[in-house]
Amino acid sequence: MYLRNVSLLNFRNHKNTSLDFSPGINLIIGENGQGKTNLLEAIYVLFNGKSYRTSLNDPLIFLKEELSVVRGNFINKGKDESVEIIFKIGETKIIKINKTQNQGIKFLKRLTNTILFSPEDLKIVKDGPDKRRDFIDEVGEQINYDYSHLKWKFLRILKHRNHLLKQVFIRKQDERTLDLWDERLALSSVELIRAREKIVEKLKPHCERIYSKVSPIGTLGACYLNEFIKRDGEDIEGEIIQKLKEVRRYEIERGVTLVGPHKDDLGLYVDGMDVRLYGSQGEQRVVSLCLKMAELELIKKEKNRTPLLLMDDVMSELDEKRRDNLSEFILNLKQSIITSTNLDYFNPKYRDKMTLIKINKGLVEGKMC
Amino acid sequence: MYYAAPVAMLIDELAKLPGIGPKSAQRLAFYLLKVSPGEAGRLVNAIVDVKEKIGFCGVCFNITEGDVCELCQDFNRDDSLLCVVEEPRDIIALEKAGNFKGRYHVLGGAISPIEGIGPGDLKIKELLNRLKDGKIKEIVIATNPNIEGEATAMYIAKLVKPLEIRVTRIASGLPVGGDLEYADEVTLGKALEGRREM
Repeated sequence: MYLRNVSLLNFRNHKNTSLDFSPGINLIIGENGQGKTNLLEAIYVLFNGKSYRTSLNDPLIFLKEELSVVRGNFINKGKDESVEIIFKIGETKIIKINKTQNQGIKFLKRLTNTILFSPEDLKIVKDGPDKRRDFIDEVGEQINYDYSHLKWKFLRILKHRNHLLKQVFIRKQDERTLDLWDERLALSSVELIRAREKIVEKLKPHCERIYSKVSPIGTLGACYLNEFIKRDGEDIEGEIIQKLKEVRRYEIERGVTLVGPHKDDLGLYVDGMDVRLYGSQGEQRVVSLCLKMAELELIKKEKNRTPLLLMDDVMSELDEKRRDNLSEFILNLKQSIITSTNLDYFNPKYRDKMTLIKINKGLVEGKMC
Repeated sequence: MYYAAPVAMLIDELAKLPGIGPKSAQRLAFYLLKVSPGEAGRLVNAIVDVKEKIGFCGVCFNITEGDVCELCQDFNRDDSLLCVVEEPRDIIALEKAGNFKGRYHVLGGAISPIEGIGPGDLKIKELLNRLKDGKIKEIVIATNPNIEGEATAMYIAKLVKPLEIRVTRIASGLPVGGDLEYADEVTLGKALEGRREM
C-alpha cells in the first residue's frame, strides 16, 4: 500500500489542504501549532475511521463550518483506490471506499494497517497497566480479526458478573448463581490470557532486535504478566475458578471482579531492570518507540504487508545517536510520514532520501525533494 | 409543546415500542391521525383482542388462545424430545423450518445479570417439573448463541445432566446457501470448530 495523496476540507485547522506523498519517507516540517499533527491525524482517520485524539465529530471540523472531508488516494496491490470520510456536526460520519458508501470501519481497517507513534505513547510504558493492556489489545486486533471478539466477549461476561455481585450483595440474587458466571469468566479469561500471551511472545523477538538497533547498549525483554500462567499447572481455568471462590467474600462486598486478565500487565525490562518503575523518561521513550516498531514488524510478518508509519514529533526527545539509528530503521520501511519542528534532527546523509513538506498556518508552503 | 396533548401522548406510547424511535413514532402518529375511524378502530380492537384472548400455555409457556397451546395438544409429536427456547418467537422460527417434531419449552428470556434477570426469573423450575415423569429422554437447548444464551444453556445443562437425560445444544456455524468469503471470522471459527467427519 502506498498513499499517493490526501486532501482535507475544513479538517481542524486545514481549510483546504491537498498534498502528495512519495513512497519513502515524507518529512513534514513546521513550527508549533501549524497543523502538522492534524495532518497526521487526518491520515490516521482515513484508514481507521476514527481519530485517536477524540471520539467526537465536532472537534474535527473547522470552526463555524458544518462539515469536514478527508479524502485519500492510494495504490493497493497495484490498483488505484480511494477513501473518503465526511464528518458532519451532530450526525454520524460517512465512509466511502472507492466512492461506494455504507461500508463500515471494519472494511476500512482491512485495506491497510497504520502504526501511529505520538508523544502520547510514552504512557504505554509510564502509566498504569491498563495502557499496556490496551497496547497488547491493539496489536491483537491488528493481526487477528478474532481478537476483538475475544476481548469483547470477556468484557461482556465481566460486566455481567460485576452486576451479579452487586445483586448478590443486596440479596436480590442467590449467591449460588455466581458459580455459573465464575465458570464463564474463567473460560473466557483463559482464551484471552492465551491470546495475549501469544501476542507478547510474537512481539518479543522484534522488541529485542529493534531495541538493539536503536539503543547502543542493553537488551529489552518483555513478558505478559498474569498471576496464573507462571504457575506450573496446566489447568489455568480450574485455578481461576478456585481463586474466585477464595475471594468471593471480598468481591461481593466491593461489587467488582478481582481475578482475571483485566488485572494483567506487560512487563518491560532493560537488562533486567523494570523500565515501568525505574526507567528514565528517555529510556521509557525509547522503549515505547521500540514497542510500536515491534508492532509494525509483527504486522509486516503476519499480514505480509508493510503498515503505513505515522510519527508525530518523535525525534525531539532522542539523543543524536538514537535519532540516527531510528532514521536508519525508517529508511528500510516502505512509506512513512513524519512530523518535526526541526530539520536538523535528521542527519544530512539521510535527508536526500526524504521528501520534505513545509507547513505553515494550515497551508502547505512548498515541497522539496 | 409542539403537539396537542393527545397527539403527544400517542407519540410517547408509540415510541415505547421496540425499534421505534421518536421520529418513527411521530410519523406513525401522523399516519394514524389521517386514517379513517374504522381503520383505527380495527387496530385498537386487534391490540385489545390480543391482550384479552392470548395468554401463556400452562405446559410450555408458548403464547396461546386457550389454556394449553396447539403444539402441546398435538398427538403426533414426539414426547421424548424437548426443545428449550428463549422466546415464543423462537418456536415460530423452528416450526417454519419444520424438521423438529418434539415438544417445546419457553424460558421467557435468558440469564442476564446486566438486565437483572436471574435463573429465578425464567421458567426453569417449570422445566425441571416437566422432566420429572421420565418421559423426556433428550432436551435440545436452542437458546441464542450469544453470551447470555450460552450461560443459560450451561446452567440448564448442569441441572438436567444428573437426571440422566441427554442434553444437546444446537450447532452454530455457516448459514446454508451463504458464501464462505462473506462469513464473519467468528462464525467461520465456530464452523471450523464444529467440523464433522465425512
